[in-house]
Amino acid sequence: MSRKLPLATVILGALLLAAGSYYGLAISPPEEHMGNVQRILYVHVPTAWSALLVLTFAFGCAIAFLVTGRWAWDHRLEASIEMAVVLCFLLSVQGAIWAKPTWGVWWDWDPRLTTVAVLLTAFLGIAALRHFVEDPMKRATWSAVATVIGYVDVPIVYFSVKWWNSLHQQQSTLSSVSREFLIPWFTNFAGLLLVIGAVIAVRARTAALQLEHEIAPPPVALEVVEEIA
Amino acid sequence: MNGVVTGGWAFVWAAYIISALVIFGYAARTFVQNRGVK
Repeated sequence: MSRKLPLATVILGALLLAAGSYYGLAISPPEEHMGNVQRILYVHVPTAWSALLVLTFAFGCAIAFLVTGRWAWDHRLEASIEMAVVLCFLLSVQGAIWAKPTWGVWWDWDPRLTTVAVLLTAFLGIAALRHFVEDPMKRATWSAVATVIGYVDVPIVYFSVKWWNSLHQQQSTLSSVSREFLIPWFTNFAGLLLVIGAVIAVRARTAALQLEHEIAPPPVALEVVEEIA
Repeated sequence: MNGVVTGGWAFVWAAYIISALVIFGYAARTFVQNRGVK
């Protein structure tokens, strides 16, 4: 992979995000009940979609590593776990900023908010586990198993608004949302996906290089081998 | 009180600015970290 490709992808993603945000802030009309605060959803909803996709990718990488044992899957898993933590954190902050003017509170122990908080805590724990376990094989296996267990919360997050009496509104459908609202949603989603894809690719490459350094014999040992030879 | 949220631009700007800082801050950190490992 060319080193310039990820940077070009991030720039393209940033341009799409700028275009989608401009449409959402300046062109799209205020919503009937939520007024201008609705514009927060043009970044909140794409963040939620992206978070679910990244978590699903992490789950796929974990299964693939456990089945094949190939290190490339562990590098992708490390990258996607970190990105999942960033997106779940951002999702919670955006949600709190939206909740204050509409619900009157920054936080509520609502099923959707609580299950996302559980998800954030779980993946923060998996990221910490990767940081503290020194043996590469144990680290990869334990974090893959923990990711599979943590992923159980993802469908619970998605269906929480249907299963329980929730303050959070249910998912909208394409037919229930006006075109003026869909344009910034999908433009920002496309931009976010490009940025996230490029960052995960670079982070996975860093993880691969870090592992190479980690398992490489120390320079002193190499000198001894050369002397013996 | 008429059931319509009025104003709120400060919340909107806060959400957009924090989102941009978090996403592009993390992206920049990842690119810098990658250069440091080589």
